[in-house]
Amino acid sequence: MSFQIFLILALAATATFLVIVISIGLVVHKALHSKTIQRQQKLYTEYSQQVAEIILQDLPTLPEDSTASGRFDQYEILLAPLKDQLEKMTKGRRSLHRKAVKLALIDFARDVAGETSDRLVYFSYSLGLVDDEIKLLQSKNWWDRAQAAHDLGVLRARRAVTPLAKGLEDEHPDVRIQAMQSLVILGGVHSLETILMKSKNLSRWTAIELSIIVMRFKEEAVPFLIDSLQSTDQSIVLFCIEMLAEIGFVSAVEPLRTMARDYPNTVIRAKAIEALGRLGDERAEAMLLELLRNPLPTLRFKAIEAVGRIGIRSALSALETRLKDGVLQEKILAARSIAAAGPDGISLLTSLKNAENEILRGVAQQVLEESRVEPSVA
Amino acid sequence: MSETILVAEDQQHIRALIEYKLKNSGYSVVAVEDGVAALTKARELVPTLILLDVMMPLMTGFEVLSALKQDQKTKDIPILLVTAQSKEEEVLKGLELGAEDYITKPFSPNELAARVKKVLLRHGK
Repeated sequence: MSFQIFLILALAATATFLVIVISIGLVVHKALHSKTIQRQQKLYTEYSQQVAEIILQDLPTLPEDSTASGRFDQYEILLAPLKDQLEKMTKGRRSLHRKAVKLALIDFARDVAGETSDRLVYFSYSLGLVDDEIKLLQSKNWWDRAQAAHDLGVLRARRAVTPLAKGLEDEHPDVRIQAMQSLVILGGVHSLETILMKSKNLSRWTAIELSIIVMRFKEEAVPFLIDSLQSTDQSIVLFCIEMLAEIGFVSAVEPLRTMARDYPNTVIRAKAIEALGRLGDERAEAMLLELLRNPLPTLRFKAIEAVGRIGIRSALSALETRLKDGVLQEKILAARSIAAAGPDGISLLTSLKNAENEILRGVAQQVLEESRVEPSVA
Repeated sequence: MSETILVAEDQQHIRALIEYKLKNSGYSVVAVEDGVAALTKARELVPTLILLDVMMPLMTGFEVLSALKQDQKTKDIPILLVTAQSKEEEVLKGLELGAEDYITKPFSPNELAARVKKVLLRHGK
């Protein structure tokens, strides 16, 4: 009995001891962590000050015939004290200080423009920070790769274009998105060529991010979107069609017509037909009328919708055929497109309210109500 | 005596940059990091010009601007807003509230100094 009590007491004492040790460990760890953060903050403040001074220091005017290297020599002189300072440090200390310098440079690069910004770009190269970031694009941690991809854009590191283009194929979507945004900073609208060529299997999220970029350029993006209709990746082709419809630029009509007619994939043909409807260009009308008789339901349905969106009066007869012969979904789509054709369409639907076929009567009644032509009947 | 400029900016590096640039341009600079401090300092010092960031903690630049324009003591101080890029609505709101001019981030420090000088000249300083 006494042995059992002793054992329980010993276990309790051990547990208490372990709890105390772990608690002390946690407190020490937290204190050290907080000290490191304070130290990093202090270093950041110091280097922000130092960087602010060297990016704002007045430089002698260069002769008119001087080359870019003359300006870079001046920048190098400005940077020399900071470089010396870092050189004299031990490896571990230097790494910590370089990190603070990098953060300061990135923060400034985000908020300043003009010649001051050129200095920051030069400093990032000269201090080897750009090469460090390019190496980080190979990190096994996705968050490091994403951060590096982001920072390279902020630092306007043109040397990073090729590695960033490779980042478009990264396994993690955040890395791909950051690489995309940085490439746009570095190359403007022309970067769309690389982005659309290298990107594969666009996720919904990536497509949203990319659409924001494309809409920033609007008409300027159209040639790149048209070129990328040749992509072998279905998600890219669908994305480009969607964007061309959204931008609504006239030069998109011909390539979309070709796709709607000849593309060897029904999903893409259907998307192209939908886009033609949204563009509403009369050059597409004849082809859309022809597609109303297409044996493939997906294409036919899309053509019915497109015709309705444009409001083609000459399509009334073909639409009436679809309304009478099609399945229920097709009847409703056809009736809506008939209503969209204007007064002639409305009177056609009104006449069908008394049709013998019950489904036909119902569809005509429903669409007329949707069009608010007559009040709903309870 | 040099003109006193009050700089209200929450981002430390930008504050340091503006402070350094304006001091180098010959102005006396007082820098604060939030909206409440900006309002307090403005009432206390009545500076020649205020450089006001729109996005600040405690009180936004707009709130500070509005309060300063309603105060007899501070209503005539020219105010230059610092806004994020492509925020047209911010710029319009600021100008409607009585800001003299604005500068968008990213900005050129030289341009900032030139704008400050122009605003001060316009006010006969």
